[in-house]
Amino acid sequence: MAGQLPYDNRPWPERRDAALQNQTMRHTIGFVTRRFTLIKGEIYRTSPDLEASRKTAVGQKRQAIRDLPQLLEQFRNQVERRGAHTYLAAQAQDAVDIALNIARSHQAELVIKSKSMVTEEIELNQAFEKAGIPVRETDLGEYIIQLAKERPSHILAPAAHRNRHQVEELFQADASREKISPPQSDEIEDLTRYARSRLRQEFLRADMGVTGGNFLVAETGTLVLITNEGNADMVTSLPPVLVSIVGVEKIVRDWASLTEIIQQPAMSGIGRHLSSYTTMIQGPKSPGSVEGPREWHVILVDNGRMALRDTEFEDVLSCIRCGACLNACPVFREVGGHAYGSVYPGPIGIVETPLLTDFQVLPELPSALCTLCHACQEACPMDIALPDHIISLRHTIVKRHLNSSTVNWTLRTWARFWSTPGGYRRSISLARVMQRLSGKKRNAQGLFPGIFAGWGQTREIPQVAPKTFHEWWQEWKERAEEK
Amino acid sequence: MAVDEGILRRFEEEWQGNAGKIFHIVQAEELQTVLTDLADANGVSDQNPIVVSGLSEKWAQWIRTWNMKQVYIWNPEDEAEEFRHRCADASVGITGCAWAAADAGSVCLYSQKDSSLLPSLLPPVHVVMISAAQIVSTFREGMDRLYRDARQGGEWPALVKIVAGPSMTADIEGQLILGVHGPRDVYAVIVDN
Ligand code: SF4
Repeated sequence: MAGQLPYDNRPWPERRDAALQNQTMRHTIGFVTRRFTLIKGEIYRTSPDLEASRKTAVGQKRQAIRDLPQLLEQFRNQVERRGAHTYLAAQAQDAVDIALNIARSHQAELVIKSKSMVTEEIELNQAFEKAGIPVRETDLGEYIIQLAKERPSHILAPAAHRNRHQVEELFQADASREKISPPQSDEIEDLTRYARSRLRQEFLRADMGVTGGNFLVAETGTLVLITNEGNADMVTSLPPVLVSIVGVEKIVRDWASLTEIIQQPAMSGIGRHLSSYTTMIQGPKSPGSVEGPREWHVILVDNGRMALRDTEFEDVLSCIRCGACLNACPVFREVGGHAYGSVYPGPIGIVETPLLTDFQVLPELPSALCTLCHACQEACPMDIALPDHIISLRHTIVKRHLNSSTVNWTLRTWARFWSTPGGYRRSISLARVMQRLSGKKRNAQGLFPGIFAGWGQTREIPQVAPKTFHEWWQEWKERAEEK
Repeated sequence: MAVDEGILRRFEEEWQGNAGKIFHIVQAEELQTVLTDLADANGVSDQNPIVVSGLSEKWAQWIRTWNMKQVYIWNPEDEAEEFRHRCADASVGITGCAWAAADAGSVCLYSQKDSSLLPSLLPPVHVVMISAAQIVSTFREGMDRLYRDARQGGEWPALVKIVAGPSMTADIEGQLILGVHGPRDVYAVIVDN
């Protein structure tokens, strides 16, 4: 069944222009992505054993995806045996309903959350707010964009599009709403301190916690969470009720597979052997323990994932959301995450967004936001064939007539002329005539048909020569033969 | 068990590479000196005490003989809620660990009845005590150890936590800041014997 994904319904040129005008975002994204790419390369070079683990992990993960239904069953049995509850949500809405029911049955008044892409995907926060249950994002970047009512601009650095002054403004407004003392200045240190004390109170008060998950281990019934801030530790340790919402593809078979893969997100994402905190949950707390939830619920989300098994796109389900393909992508480095219009940006986003939704959402992504440079292919620790998929998606989009009629007309016309030498020659003489008719002596700017019209507006297009090289060669040859 | 110097050095290097700090001690008095300095530097007071959990009986005894009155050592007979409040106000938290891994510069803590994770999480300073013999060469070995421990114990601990550096973020303008939600300083006190 096709999944449901939220999206930005502004057309691509509008999203693109907004991104290109946001200098703060472009500066930070440019800086962060280049730095991550550099240190990622470095750490794999100096850790040959982890490069070997990576290769093993790829094979194991592919097999786990093939065995997904059995492994999910095993995972559920394991954690239920320890007293946790599990659910399988076929679509985004199902996952939201299950989570809301849990919250309502506990009369939750405040929910705290650690970072999770899948909850962005199912728009959990919006649903909770609508139901009158406040949800507090606790990852610093997520907290900032929650105050700004925006979406993440990078998987790992969600607020990369805002500078310290803009963050201070958001915090000032928040402080006056909450009647607490505002940040002392717009120094990043002070802003972070404000967030620490503000969120600390909510951590201690919250009656329900929500996490995502980096890995699920079928053999042992373990859920693994990785953060640098330690906020997932707060969420798993403090509230009495914990709900973990995780994509079904996060499963690995056994402890041995976890051992191979567990360091890969930090290695590929931030160029470290491990993030500062790795937390493993195995069940609700045992009586007498100080921390841990009394009740633990795990919602396993399908939302279009299962349908990708046994297709050429199956390897997409191995993604560990490390962000390396975003960091390596020259398009992402320029436009950042918002321009994609999907919760999943970058190379993996342009593949996954149309696939998860059976092309219902943003089918233009593979054509509009990729130059086929293959940088993502090289960066991906899970060896996902991103460029091949992008080409294949372009084919599908044409076959299923998902392009707009102007795009199709333009490309058909272009193909008709330029696929034969004669057609090419005819197109050039036509362009010359058009250039004369339009009265533009200087160049052929206005002459691009259909979608190429925009292309001509932003580029210096050379004048169509009065004579092409072929014509000149032909004449020269004839003259030479005459002599 | 003989301590492998190479492993020890690697752990130190990687732990410091992860922005952690190191002390070496051999006996009780040295621990007390280290802790006195930390207490002074971090404003320990009646309102902001030191919370302790998950130490071996010997080390817990070292701390008791330190004679510092603002120290709370978790005892499973105590009220959990009260300990939680103390942790939330504490200025320094001290824990033991199950094992440490040299190549990743990390320590691993299990949440159990007699060992709470909160002292490693809520106070701005986390001190983890490690016996040199607890350090394994690779993180992979540590994962094996965890698996064996859980199997032998018959039950998996509800929560397991691996620490590889202080709480950090680079979410504003890509600038690194320590101590966002968890501790800003992490100290490894290695007990050589
Ligand atoms: S596709 Fe590969 S590089 Fe991109 S986020 Fe997923 S695992 Fe990382």
